Amino acid sequence: MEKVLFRNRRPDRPATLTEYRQSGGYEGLAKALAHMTPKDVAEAVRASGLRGRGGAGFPAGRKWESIDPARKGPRYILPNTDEMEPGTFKDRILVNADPHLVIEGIILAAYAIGAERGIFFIRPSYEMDAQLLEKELQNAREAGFLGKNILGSDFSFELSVHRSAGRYICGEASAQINAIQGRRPNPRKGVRSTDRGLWDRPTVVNNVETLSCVPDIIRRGPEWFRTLAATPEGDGNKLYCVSGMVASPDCFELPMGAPLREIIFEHAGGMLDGREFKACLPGGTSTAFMPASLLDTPMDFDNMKKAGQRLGTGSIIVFDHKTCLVRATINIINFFVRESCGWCTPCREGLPMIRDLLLRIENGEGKEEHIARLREMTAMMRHAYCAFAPGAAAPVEGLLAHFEDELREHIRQKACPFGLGKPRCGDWEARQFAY
Amino acid sequence: MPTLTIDGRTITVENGLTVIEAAERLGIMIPRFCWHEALGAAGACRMCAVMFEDGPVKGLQMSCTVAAADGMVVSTDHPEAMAFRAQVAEWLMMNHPHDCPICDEGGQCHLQDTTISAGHSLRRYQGPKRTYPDQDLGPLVTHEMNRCIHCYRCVRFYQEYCGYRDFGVMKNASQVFYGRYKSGRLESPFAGNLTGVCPTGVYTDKPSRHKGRRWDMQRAPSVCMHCSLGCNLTANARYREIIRLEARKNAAVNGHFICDRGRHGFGAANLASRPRAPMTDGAQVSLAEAVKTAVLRLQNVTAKHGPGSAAILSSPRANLETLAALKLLAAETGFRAPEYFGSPVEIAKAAAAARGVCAETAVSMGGLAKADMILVLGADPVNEAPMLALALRQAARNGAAVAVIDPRPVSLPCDFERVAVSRRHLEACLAALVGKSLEGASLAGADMAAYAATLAKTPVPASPEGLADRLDALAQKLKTAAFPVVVCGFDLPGESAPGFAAACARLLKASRGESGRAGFFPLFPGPNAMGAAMALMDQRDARSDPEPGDARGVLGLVEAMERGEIRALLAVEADPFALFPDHERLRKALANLDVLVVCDWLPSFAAGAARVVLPCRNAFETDGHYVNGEGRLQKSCKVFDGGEPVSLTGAGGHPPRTFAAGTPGGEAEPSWRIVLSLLALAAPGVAKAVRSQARPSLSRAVSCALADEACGAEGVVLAMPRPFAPVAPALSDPAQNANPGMELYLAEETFGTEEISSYAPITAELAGPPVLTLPARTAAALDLADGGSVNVPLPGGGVLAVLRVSEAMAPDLAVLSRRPGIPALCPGGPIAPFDPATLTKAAAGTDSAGTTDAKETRA
Repeated sequence: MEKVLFRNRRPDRPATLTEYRQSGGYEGLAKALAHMTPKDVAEAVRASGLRGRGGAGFPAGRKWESIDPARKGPRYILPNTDEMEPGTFKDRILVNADPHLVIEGIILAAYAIGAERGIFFIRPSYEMDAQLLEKELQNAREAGFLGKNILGSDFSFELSVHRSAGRYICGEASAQINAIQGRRPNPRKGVRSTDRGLWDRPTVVNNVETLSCVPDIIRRGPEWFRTLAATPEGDGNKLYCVSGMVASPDCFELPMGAPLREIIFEHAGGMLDGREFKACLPGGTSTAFMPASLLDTPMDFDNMKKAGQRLGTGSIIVFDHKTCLVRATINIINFFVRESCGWCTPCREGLPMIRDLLLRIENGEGKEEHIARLREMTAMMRHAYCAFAPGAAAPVEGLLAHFEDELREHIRQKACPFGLGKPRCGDWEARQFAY
Repeated sequence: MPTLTIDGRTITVENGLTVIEAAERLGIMIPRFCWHEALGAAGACRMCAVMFEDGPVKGLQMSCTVAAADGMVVSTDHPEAMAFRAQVAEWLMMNHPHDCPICDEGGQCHLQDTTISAGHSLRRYQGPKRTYPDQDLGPLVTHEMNRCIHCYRCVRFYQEYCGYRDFGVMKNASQVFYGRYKSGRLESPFAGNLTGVCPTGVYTDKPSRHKGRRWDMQRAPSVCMHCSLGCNLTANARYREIIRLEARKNAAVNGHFICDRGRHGFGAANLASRPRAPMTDGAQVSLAEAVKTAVLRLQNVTAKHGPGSAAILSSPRANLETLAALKLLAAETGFRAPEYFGSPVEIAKAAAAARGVCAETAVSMGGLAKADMILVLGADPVNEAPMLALALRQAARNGAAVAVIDPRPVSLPCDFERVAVSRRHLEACLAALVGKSLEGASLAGADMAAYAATLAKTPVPASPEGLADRLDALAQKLKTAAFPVVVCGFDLPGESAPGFAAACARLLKASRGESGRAGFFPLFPGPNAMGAAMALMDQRDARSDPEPGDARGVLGLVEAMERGEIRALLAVEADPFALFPDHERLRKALANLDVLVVCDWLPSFAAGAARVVLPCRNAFETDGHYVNGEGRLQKSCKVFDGGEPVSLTGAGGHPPRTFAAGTPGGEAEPSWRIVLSLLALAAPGVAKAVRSQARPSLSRAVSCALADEACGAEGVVLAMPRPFAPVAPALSDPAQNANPGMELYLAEETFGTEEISSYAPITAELAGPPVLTLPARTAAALDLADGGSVNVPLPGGGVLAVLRVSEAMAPDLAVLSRRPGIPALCPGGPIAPFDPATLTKAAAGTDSAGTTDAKETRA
């Protein structure tokens, strides 16, 4: 298959501007600025079927076109590389493989929506990548791809890098806008970012993988992009991260809709010696456990939804038969308990209560009624303020749906059947904090 | 106007109303925590979940975030909604300390009520509870974070509604913490409202801590006494002691909130030093005897020197009943007509402001939120009438432009344009601004057009630099404003300012056509000053333009006393020392009187000097009516019968009990009743007529038939239509402009200056040491640094003050905090010529600043 996003990926260093240009880089931008109106660019992206790679799968073109064209004044684009979803590292690899692919995608998106300013929101632990981007942005600026009158057109655009303070919720578009404005990164509802976003101006927040698909959609056309996917429902290529108990964990560029079994057992080299596949999280920790029975599901947004799963970020975490999934879920839920912004009750108080129940079960103090209570409580998470709490509850829901017997075995044995030591309730939280 | 069905009942509501509000209209109280009428929806608590069964929205949704829409079918008791709400209550109660037995919120706790109503009664969570360290938030508010359910009401109130930033939210997840970066007193003068907005006991009232449960309290609707805004309160008393005041909602006045001066300024009511027993010549007697003695002595004087030798003084803190009774007394006995103010200038200002309050430009404090441009002339809202500052902020949040024309370094909790000009140029600025904005406007009457044209020609003061341009820019804004309001201060502006400001408001109203709006909102010096100003006016016809007659205030009384024309004074709920600055002169004049009768509840200086003291009840101990600055008549109800607090009579015993036939200190009567008993003895002819009615008719006091109608929960606005009358602005003469002398102004502050609250120990403590604020250039010339201590020489002695330096004030003004005792040092009134060169640096290590030479003590 043809590599698009990773065509310049090398084992040792990022591709340079020259290398990127040799592979057709910035041709899309030149074409767009010379021959296409911003509307044409947005229409091409919509026609390509490109969907948001950050996890929600919202059609990128539709997001761009929802900006009121009559609205004057500044508009912003926020390329999102917060990438705090555990198990997800595709954006980092992408930025490191071919920074100018990312940059060109951002410029094209900015052209399509009429943005004059972009703020590259990056996770603070990606400091090296932030520095790389800053260096490559300067190269792009010197080559005339950024700044005033790009490539001699009347389109001007400036892009800077903003390091996040480092919280999971900052990846949520509206929370990210609040964070850049120096506010608490609480998500906000009731206003659309494309209407009242950063500083109340129309703003588009896109994942960088999404944006990186744009240069080739423009250069080679939306029809070409559609042919890349493995399924009719899919769009283009997708970066799948595989981690866990597999022989060769890595990030793979594959056609959207590649079956899960193929990704794990062909590309990631199958399970480690002596390990058997038990379950995986298909799209980061905010998706539900998938049992082996679902291994043939094509990994695209629609087919995953049909299977009752979520594609999420396409970051597959593989668990083997020796892993206690209750303990794994506690580990995940503990992350979410810590990362909640604390705005709404289900998330702030409900997740710790779910954790408490799981801890009790793992600890041998579980009761049959705890399973029913967990089921009730996780179901109620969908009534939380934003998508964080339902995402956090997803692995628990998967556990309940496919591994209820394992939970019950903990309760029956009054101990973890995998022989793990007792986690202590309350250990998970640092209780001493000073003001 | 969407029509929707909630629990099988249909209701049509206005656009934009949320489902939770629509349900409330039907009497269905959907449980809620974060939603608050004044703060709006946050969607944080998830408590108000209801089931949308049909219509544009489907499924379980939060009723606070969904706007009512046509065809909605909502069920509040759908099993899924009930189960979810029960679960939310369980989550909220997971970490709650269940310390209700020792929590002051117990019994009035929204969390208690909602937990039960949501159906959570069985605790299932067995894990450890989250705990927080608490902070010391100052003397008014107790912090107990463990009780927190994280509804974000406190921070939304403090930061968004009030605009203060020293309190906020920190940390995330289940450790979200509301507080300050460091322990310390909350800076907002509205912080006391945290106790009201908090649905549980995180913020409770510190002064009343552990003094009783809600159901232990005698409670009644009351009206605030600490400025002219007339904010609505609920007063709580227990064991003959006022324990706590709470805000009472009145959308037209204070909304849901009150300021901390209003909340905590009641301390005088409980003072041990309060005159409780009727006294004649230092001996305790019965009230009847004291009244008899008072009448005999007054009659002795009037028999010898004629009825005009007896004068009556009341004040803006007396209620309308008392003013009516006093008018009756004066009319029947021939005593001089009652006086209510300090000087003719104050009377002129109060009368002009009262005359300016008319139906054409009437605007309530609640109505200010709808204004789109507000011009504040000579007022410092945070210090003079704090809730007005909050009202200005709400207007600004709705997009209004606010401009403050004042020489002081006024600060407001919102964005505003500061026009810091000399006191001498206040009216010139307003004249130029309004005049320019009306250029080209169509004004109906020829007189109005001519008047507007004159204003437009007002020369703009030369300083500060760029003033003309700034006024031009403001005039452009004013020109396009749909609903401008002119707010006029009382104390600082000159004699013609209120009348002129009112005339400007009338011009603005007229230029906006038949349906256009403009408002005039004056401040007055006291809770019933508007009532007193109305009482001063001629009673002939409420629609005519009345004049305040020949009233000359305390100054006039003193002059007449000095001439020997007045030999007897009856002061009813009035302390001449609070109304008149030259205490030395006043003291001498009072000493020359044959008779001084004081009927008061405050332990005032006058009460200490009087030979006959008739103790009366205060606003908590009797029903009374007050007219606030916008002309709204409001009733304050009796909370309890008065008497000495049990904490004072009980000598520390628990339970404190004394056994006696009557209530200790319970002889005090409402002052209007005391006045009527004086009248019954002094003029037996009218005694019968007086006795036949329980209380005097209010229209006798304020010549307005409306006054006798029962005022409902929101009060009755007495503003009448009035013809337009042009008032010329006072423009200082150009010669003076060239070299204006510096002036010292004794300015009111949020705490410690207003008369009644200055007796309250807690507000006196909040006031801190007096502050002298100097323009930066003056301070630099004298080599005085911000934060240092200075001796301020005043004619009557020196004051040790903390120095503040400000860039944001007029260059010809120095501002000194007014405190009890300090005005006595400045016999000329609150504004006096001042030579900053006479300031001296206080020696380092001088302990707490304060008045050094004020020797006065109260009774």
